[in-house]
Amino acid sequence: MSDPIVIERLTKYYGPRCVVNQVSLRVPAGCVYGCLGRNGAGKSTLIKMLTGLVQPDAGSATLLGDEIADVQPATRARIAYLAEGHPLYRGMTIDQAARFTRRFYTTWHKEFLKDILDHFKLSGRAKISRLSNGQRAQVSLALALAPDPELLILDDPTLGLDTVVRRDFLESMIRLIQGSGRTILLSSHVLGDVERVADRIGIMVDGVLRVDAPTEDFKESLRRVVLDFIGSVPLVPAFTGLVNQRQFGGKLELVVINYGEEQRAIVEGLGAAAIDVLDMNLEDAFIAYTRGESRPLPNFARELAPC
Amino acid sequence: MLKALLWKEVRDLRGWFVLAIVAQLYLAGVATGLDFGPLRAGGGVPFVDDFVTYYFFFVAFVFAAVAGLWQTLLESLRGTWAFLLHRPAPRNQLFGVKLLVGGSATLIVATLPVMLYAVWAATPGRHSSPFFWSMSGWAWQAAVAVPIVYLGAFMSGLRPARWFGSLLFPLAGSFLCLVLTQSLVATWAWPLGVPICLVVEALLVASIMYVAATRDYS
Repeated sequence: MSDPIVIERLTKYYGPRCVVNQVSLRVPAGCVYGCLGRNGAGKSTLIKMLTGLVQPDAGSATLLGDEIADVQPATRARIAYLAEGHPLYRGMTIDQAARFTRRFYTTWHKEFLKDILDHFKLSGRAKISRLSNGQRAQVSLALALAPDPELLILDDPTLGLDTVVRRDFLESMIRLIQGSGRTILLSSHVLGDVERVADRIGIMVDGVLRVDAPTEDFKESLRRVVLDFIGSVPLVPAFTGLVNQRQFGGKLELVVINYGEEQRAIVEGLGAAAIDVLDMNLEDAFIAYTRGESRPLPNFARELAPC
Repeated sequence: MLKALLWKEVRDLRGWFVLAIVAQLYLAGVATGLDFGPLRAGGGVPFVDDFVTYYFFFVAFVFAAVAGLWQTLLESLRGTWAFLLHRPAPRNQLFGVKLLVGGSATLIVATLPVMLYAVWAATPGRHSSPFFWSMSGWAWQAAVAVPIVYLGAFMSGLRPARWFGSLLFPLAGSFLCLVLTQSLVATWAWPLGVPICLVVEALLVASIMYVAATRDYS
């Protein structure tokens, strides 16, 4: 059986701008895949192409074996999709939204839905227009899980939620889906959200999937190399594994993936007075990957001036 | 599933529908001699020499335009296309139900006052002028043409556009199309009026289904 999500060179242009550039990836069954990237990196467009809301300009993809251009209703019933912003019909009550949604599915776990709503302390009679963003996210999640989907596609599910609500929502989500063997594709620009749940991560930068690796491998493969120079800082030649570089006065900071003998030789050849090789946490690694070209930081004279 | 979709669409449109029906009932009342509100019947020959019939179509056209835009722009403004289109149902069925509800509501709003007025006019002793059913023929033809405006408005709301002006191209085009078909019918193709309208409507439905299947809902 093929993987639940298979993407081959998927590409999308908006006008002359390539927002998703030949993205290829596979998400195996049971995997929680976190798709990371800054706002505008192409995560949502990629997900919208998968769910058939946006037509790709090139490439192909399958969801549970069906081509995305031709996902059959029976297959779609096995896929839950939480769209960005949790769109729901605001004029309906939660009960009405549940009644409307369940008509489309042959499998519908009414008791499970009730349990989730009870867990979130939501009354079925509450009107959706009167719910907070966090509560609407909870209703969306409940409605998405009620048909017992095999595959969940979550597009930035915590967007717009405050820190506490976001944490609660994520913890509930993990509790509800963990151990169920479901395959999950989760996009987010909040690294902490993904780090806590994902087995594997992808990082998109300007429409390109720059990283596609198990979360732990990614964390372990990155090193921050800090070089101290006496006098001027030399230009660093491009070399394999160099992700990013920043200069702070006489210090040069390099972010290097798979730091080995080849990279060490190049770094030592720069003639620094001191070299420190440090581990990185996922947040630093994510920032290094997504920051893009960075200029040397200016000296903020006012901030540095003595009081 | 179809029942749920029908319920949702009826729910979305019911406010405008009730408003339009109330307006049409008032106008039908005025046409049949109701002495209430700002309008008074002129006392002319029904469907030949009266102004109220034109108000029927004004209300019907406004309702048709509002209904078409409401069913599409509302989904865009609420961001609910993503929710609706991910339901496990063929996309043409999701849009077909929208069109069925909107088109039926438009036809009811357009034909109800014509029917009431014609039945009143055909009842002996109601007015002093002669009446033959054929005198109301143009009004029935115009009522059948009202869904052209609805479909044009639906297309306007559905089709992505760069700015408000180009968004309304299909609606403006449908008005033009309506005027052309009615002129054509009035001058030399009277018996073909209904078939011509149905052909135009079928073409618009096909275009809507094509746009619905191929546009980006981003």
